Amino acid sequence: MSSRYNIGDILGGGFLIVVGLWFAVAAYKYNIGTLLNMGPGYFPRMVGVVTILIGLAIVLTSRRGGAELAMSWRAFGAIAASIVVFGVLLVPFGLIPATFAATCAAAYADPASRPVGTLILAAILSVAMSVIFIYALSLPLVAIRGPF
Amino acid sequence: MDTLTNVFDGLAVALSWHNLAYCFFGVFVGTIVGVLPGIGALATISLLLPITFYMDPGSAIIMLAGVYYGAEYGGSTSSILLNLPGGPASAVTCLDGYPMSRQGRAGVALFSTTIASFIGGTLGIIAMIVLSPSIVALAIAFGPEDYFAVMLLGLIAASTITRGNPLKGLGMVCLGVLLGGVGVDINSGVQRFDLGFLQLAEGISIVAIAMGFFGVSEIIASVMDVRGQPVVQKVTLASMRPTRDETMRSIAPTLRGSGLGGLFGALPGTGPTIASFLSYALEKRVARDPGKFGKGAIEGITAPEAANNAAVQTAFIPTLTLGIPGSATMAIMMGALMIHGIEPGPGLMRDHPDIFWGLVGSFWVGNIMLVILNIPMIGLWVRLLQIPYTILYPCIVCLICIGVYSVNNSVFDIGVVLIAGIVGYVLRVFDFEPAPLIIGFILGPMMEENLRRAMVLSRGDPLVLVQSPISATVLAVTVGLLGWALLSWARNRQSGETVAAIGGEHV
Repeated sequence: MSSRYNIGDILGGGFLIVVGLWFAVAAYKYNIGTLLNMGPGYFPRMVGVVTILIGLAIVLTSRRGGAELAMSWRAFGAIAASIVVFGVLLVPFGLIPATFAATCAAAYADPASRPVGTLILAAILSVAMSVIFIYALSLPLVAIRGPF
Repeated sequence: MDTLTNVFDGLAVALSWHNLAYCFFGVFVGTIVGVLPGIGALATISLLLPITFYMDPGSAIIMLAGVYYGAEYGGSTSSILLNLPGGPASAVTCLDGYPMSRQGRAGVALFSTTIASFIGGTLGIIAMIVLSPSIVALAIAFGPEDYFAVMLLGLIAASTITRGNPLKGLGMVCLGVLLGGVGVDINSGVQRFDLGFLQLAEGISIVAIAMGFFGVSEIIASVMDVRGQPVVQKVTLASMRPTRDETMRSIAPTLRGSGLGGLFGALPGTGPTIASFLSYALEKRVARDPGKFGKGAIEGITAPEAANNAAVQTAFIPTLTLGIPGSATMAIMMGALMIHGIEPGPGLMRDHPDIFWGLVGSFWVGNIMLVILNIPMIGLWVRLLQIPYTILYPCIVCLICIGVYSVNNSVFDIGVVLIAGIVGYVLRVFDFEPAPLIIGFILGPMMEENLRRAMVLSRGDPLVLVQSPISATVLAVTVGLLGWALLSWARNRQSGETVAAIGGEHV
């Protein structure tokens, strides 16, 4: 990788520019107002513009070098998937299936995890979480139910 | 004598049965997450936030604060035994703590750091008791423009005093301020930036933001890094006794560390991590024989541990007296009070003396509990270190999901955690620290309000920001700090040096 720039700076700075731009433009939908009587859009527009400038500065001052980007795709994908399945399963199926599936997905992040150990952990966790949160703390959740 | 009465009243609050229980729970959990690498105090505090909704605000803050300073006690344990810091502020303790452990003196190291932590914490509490009332008295003279300026200083300090590129810290602060603006505008009632989601009317959930940017991204980053290692030796009570010489040599470093820590804890942007690194550097400089550092010098562990514990106590000073958090953790702590409708600031001590002084009282109680937890019960933590992270992190993921759902019983918030976690992790890979974002998220709406109020009061004259002497001074300091940070970064980069290994601050 011998590009002229640090890829993290470019992408991160670019992200700031995009987000700043979105807020600055969206702010015009609201009343901007004057300095004396600021509307709801004034401050966000101001900060949005500053964000764009900072993003530009990061991109423009970027130089080659720095550490290589160390992204662990496996952990990233597994943990993200784990949150997704939890959110999808929780309401229609209940806490036990959601925790069970989320644990299995999360465990995949670590290459050292073994299927049998993961299943045991998932079983223990899903029961423990239900006992703690539904019976002890009485959160309005259902342990398990069918998708009627 | 007024203060003394208040302190005793506070102790009485802290010694009530339920507050004792919450305090113990807090320091106990704090020690656990401090000992365990790969999960920090900030993630834990945001995890506990939903529970505090059901508690009275005084007990809530006592418990959350316990987690914060408890984690500093626990952090040194894994530094000493495994050469793996439990948190960033304990990283420097590895340098001499682990060599001591290799020499079979782990017990002495653990004992000395606990005592040094206790002294540092105690001195920090005293500083808080002595200084807070006068800061409050000063703060009454603050107008909205002064608050705006001080908050701006807090944001700039928090984002620029880090390792690496200060521009990235500034960018994260701005991102936080923008996200903090989502939801209903208090002045006009207009819905802002809600993308049509009704769930965003009350703003993005702070719990979801904190758990996503810290909890989730921290877990993804540490799954591959944190690997259990066998603990090198058994720690018995008998092995903990330091020699007379070691005790004598620890006194001055502990006091110097406490002083440095107390100072840097109270300043915005700096905190326990910077305090511990600087006090290590200071000890090395004043030592007659600097060569012994890194080979198991007791001064090299007592000074930084005293420093980080003094710093975590004094960090509460600006948060509670001015309502301006110096770090992300403090920002969350403030959020916990604000959820209960209590505005931290100069009014807190007057309107809610039971909360302010009760918290101060609980600091002492908690520090005593921590000494007991960390000396007679050290065996428990040594065993805890043997739990593999493979088992731990799926538990944490599930706890995050359940915790964030329970705040509003909304699956939508789980989605927010997911997005915040993904964005936070990717930005972390790009070398953007998440801490400034949290501070911006909390301070942003407050800055907007104060700026708007200042402009109304001055009839739209922006010069008011430089006409008020307090605001003008603070803004001058802010500009100076910003210039200094950018210049020194540019210079360091020019010469190809890496800035001293002051790792992720604000936590």
